[in-house]
Amino acid sequence: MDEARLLLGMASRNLRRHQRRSLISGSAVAFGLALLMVSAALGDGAHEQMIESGVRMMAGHVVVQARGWQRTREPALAVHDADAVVRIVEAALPGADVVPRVFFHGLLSSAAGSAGVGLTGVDAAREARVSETPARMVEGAWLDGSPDGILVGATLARTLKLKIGSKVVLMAQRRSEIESRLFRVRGIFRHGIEEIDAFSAQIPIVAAQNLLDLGGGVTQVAAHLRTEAGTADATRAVQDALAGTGLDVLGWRDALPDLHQWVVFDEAGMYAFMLVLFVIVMIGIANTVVMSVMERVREFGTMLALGLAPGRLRALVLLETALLGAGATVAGLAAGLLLCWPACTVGVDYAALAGGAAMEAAGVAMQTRVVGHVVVWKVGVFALATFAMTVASGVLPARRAARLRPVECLQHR
Amino acid sequence: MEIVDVQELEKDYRQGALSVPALRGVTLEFEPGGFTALMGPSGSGKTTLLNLVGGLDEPSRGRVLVQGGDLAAMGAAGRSRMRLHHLGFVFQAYNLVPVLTAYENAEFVLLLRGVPAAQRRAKVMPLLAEVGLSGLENRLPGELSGGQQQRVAVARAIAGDPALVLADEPTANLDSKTGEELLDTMRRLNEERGVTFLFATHDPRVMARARRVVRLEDGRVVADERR
Amino acid sequence: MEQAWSLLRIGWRNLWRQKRRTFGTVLAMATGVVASMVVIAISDGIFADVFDIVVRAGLGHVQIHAPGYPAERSLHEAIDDADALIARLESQAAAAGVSGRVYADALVGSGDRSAGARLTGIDPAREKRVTTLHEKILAGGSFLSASAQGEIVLGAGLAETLGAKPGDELVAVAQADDGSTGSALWHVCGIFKTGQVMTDRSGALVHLGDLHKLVGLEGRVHEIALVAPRRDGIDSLAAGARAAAGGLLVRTWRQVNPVIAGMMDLQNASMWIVLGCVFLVAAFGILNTLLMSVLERTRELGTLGALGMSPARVVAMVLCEAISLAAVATAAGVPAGLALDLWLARHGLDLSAFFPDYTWGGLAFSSVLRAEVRPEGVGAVVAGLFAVTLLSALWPAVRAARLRPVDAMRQE
Repeated sequence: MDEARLLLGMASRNLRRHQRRSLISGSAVAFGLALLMVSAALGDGAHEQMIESGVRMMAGHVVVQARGWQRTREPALAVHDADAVVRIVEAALPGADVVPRVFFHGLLSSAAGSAGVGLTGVDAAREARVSETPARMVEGAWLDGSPDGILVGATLARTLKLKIGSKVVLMAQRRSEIESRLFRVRGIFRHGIEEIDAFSAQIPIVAAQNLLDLGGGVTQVAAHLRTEAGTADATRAVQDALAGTGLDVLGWRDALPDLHQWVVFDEAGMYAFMLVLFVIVMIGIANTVVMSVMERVREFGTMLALGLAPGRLRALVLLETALLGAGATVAGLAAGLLLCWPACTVGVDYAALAGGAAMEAAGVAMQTRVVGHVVVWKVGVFALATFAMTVASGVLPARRAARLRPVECLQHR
Repeated sequence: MEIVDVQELEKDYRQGALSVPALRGVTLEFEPGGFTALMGPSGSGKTTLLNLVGGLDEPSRGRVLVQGGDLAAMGAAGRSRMRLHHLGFVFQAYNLVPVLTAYENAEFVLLLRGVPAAQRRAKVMPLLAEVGLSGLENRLPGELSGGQQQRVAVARAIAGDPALVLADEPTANLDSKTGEELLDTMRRLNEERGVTFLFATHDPRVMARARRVVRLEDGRVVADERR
Repeated sequence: MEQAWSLLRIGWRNLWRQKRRTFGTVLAMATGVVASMVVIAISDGIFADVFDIVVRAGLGHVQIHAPGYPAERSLHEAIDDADALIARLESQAAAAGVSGRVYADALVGSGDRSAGARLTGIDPAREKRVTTLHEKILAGGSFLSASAQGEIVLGAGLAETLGAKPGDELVAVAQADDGSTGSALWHVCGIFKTGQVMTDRSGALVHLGDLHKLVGLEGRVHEIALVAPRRDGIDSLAAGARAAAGGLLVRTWRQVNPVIAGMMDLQNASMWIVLGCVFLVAAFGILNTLLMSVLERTRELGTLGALGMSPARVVAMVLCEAISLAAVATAAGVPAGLALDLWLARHGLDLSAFFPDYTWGGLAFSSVLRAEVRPEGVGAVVAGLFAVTLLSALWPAVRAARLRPVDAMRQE
């Protein structure tokens, strides 16, 4: 016990003896950790924004679809008796917003031309609680009660020369026949993503159901949770509630695999880079520790000569590295939190770097102003990993110290 | 019963492709209470012999028995334990741990042996006083003169009541007055406490105080005088 | 000069006094070099991909339009006397290729399926000199023939929507410039895939002559695209075009597609930030090493001072050590980095097992990351390494120079 205290005392005094060196090494580690924390916070913030946006636009945190629709996208594959399903989902997920939707393709024609579009039949009232579109109307208004209203993207409107009140004909395939209906443009939206603005339109869900003769069926019932974190539990809850109905219940990761993949890819890239950075830092630490061992060869030889067990000598070197690691980790956490504060409140505006234009990935708009989000358990993992890696850097030098032969040491210099 | 029994000891060093013999067959015995000097010119093998006796090095041929135990049979861990419990060392360059105070350096061996703090204090404080370092217990080696540092080393060497203290050129880095004082201290410890000393040295003042002088030349014992 | 050389020699030898420490530091620095080179190469690879998809396979370097065209994209806002202008532009040395295009929206139908399409009428021979479109034809089909033969090349997405393949017949219906509706019967000669999601989904290529037959506008085009022989000739190309084109709107690709330009700028900026972090981290190690190296030679440096070595020369000596360190790290890191880069350029980093192809900014990227090696990239890394090393060496150098010989020699 006393011996442990002696070793600890020696370790901390040795670090203090070479204050500058310890400080520089420790700063490298602290810097690495702080950088990791800020990068992860900004990355997580950006991804959460993207996921929120993507989930709102194209799916939900949990979606209910006909079996096989996710793969084939055939309009005929519908969720029958949508009202009942909506009620069941609402019961299973209190507090969530549940919206029914119909997805299909058609040809939209005006006097100026025609264009292929992707259409979404929406329940105007429910959808307004979830969708970003109402906030992105540039002309006209969101769908009201009229059964023949249609909302079109700004680019589509320009292509077909549409204004508010313009008449358009929508043609779609109902089983083996082509059905057409007349609609009036009630609003024009701009999301800033070409795919959406040039190729999509929204109509009342009842009109879609009539056009495609779906009866009370829909393509998708989507549930929107308060936060993304509850997705797994919610998915299970809905799966249980709808067991035996033959319907697919998917979490957003399965419903929007492209988005999920993009997030994973982006994250992986960031962690790969940080790993390389840490490797460089750890090589530096190992180097410093080796040097400090080599400098004290005579001192170590003396202690071994006096009868200090080699294992204790290894413990001493490891203790020094551990103390350094602990101090650096704490400093890094402090610095990281300090930097995360503005990153998570004011956020970072990439617009200056990107020249202002809106950007898109995996079909979802990326906002130029990213607000960071610190995930606490991740920070814990980072701190632990930093500490562990620092200690690991000292393992080989410590082993070398333990293998010193007293005779050689005493003859040193 | 002898403390140390050296039998037909030979030691060769490798220098590049050459094999240089440092000891060519030394047989000696050292009794308890002795104050012995191993003397000879540099290269005579006296430091080598001291290192072998202390278990810091392994012989090429021959045996070293310390208190009846064969060092070669002990293994490195065993030799380490042996040094901890039975030997004390004083080095030419003092070799104190720079980050420990004089007191902490002196109590080092006792602490390693697991002796409780109160007992350590009771042992070490008077020792430091005996070597003339009262009041300097909390100084770091960097704050002590060469002579003072060497005295801390002596205190450290005998704090554990070793069977044998090995001293390698302890006066080489000291001025003449300090060196004399140190040797007198060591002689006093030998006579009053019965501490056995074995020196490797070419300082004639040590020889003047030694009761036995073993001369080495070219790795062989050429003279063994008792006074 | 002689002195500088001897200082360098001293610096070099000082480095090797502590072999293990030097080795460790070089290892860290070389890792940084390799990492930086890989990041730059992959970044350049992505840039090359984007550039290829957007500029080389479509936009061209410089575009000319009638002033009112970009806003409305109206059929009627066309450039008059196109042939004469194109000939004038071709005679300019700055242009490696000039091509005129006509755009029209049409309804195309194959069998019982139909879809809206954006037709682009081109002169195949001229277009080949401007874009790489002709290389984007999928196997089983071919690009348009040099003369107008009623051929059409469909975008991959459009072909899928129509269920059409090479050899099939298509009917195209469009509004002509005189207001009448025209139709044409064409056959599919090939399918293209550019990587631009929108173009592939609804675009189609036809011969200029065939499109003129359908929508009129003889002798006029909507767009003239030019390409410069090298990327750095784009601005002079634009200047020359402006002079030749009179009152028409002349823009570079950056002005035509600011989103893509913004994406690439962002990518570039990210790369510099990444490099900055790598070098900063390496700097800590370098600083420590040089500081240790200086501090353990206190007595020696004091001696040199006593002998008459000026502080400036001491600084120079330490800096020479730093230069030697950077040189060794370069020699260690650059070949390894180059080898890795060239391997990546040839084989690419196949991440398709982990991620499928992804879209970003309306472009489809393959998940096989390909690197591009440019000498400027390597040069930037080496320059950065030397800069960081020298900066890190300043503090140790100044410290060494400030030693007073008397104090230094007293130290143990």
